[in-house]
Amino acid sequence: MKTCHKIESNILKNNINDEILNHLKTCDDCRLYYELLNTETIDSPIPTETIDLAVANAINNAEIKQRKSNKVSLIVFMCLAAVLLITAYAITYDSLVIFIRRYLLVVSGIMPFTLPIIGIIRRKVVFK
Amino acid sequence: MDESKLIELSKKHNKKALSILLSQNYSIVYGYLLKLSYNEEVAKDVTQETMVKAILNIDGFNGKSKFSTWLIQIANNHYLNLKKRDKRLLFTNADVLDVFASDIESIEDQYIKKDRFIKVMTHLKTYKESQRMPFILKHYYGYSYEEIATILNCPIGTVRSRIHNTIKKLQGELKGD
Repeated sequence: MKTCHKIESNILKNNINDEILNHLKTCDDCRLYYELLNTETIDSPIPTETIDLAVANAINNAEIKQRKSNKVSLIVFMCLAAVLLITAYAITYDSLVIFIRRYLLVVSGIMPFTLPIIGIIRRKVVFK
Repeated sequence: MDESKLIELSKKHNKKALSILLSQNYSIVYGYLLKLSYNEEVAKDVTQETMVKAILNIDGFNGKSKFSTWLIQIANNHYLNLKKRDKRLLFTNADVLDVFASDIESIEDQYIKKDRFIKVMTHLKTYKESQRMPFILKHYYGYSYEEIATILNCPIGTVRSRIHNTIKKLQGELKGD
């Protein structure tokens, strides 16, 4: 049993030598193990027409999916571009509004204090 | 024309090359899925979807593995995803063994092969996918451990131990038959 275990391990690692081949002739378990590990082709050929039809269908379906995907990409791109443009425009517009608002705030805040100064300056100018 | 040339042409959207490439690998993918699902309808559908996915993503194929390995990898992932939501996959069809068996009749050594094949497939049906997949790829398609590890996205050691465990389990059950 211990030998079989060792033999199986070697078969699994594909280390086949004469000792293993001799053992396979006498041990049914190991032979079955060897047979199950090795390739046994059982696929029969599928008719060419069936394959051709299936492949043609697959190519056709892929083209339809590709076209759909292209359309979706275009719509997404257009939506994204529109959103970005609107955002950019809004940011610019908003900045301008903020600038004007701040300007007006500063002007309206400073104006009362500047008026006497302007008056003094004017007076000075007049006096000159 | 060799496979690498066909792949190169397919990447350039050459329909004829793509068609040849897929035709050459159709039987492998279909046969593998049939053994995995025991359901002809499912095997056909998944093969079709695999082909469509392969066509759409052929630019992503890096050529490090065989094209069939890449296709089986796609098929495997698609099958596992489908299994989560498609109830058809919960029901395996026993008649599918007759489909396999009728395929084998044309091969020499038919009786022994057919008998063994039916027994193995009947037992495999009760195993988990994680045990079935590496065994089918190794025993029926002769993929190397490295290739199976790539397909199943797991370490080579895991592939080896899964194959060993499946064979041991099968060995016991086949002896009991």
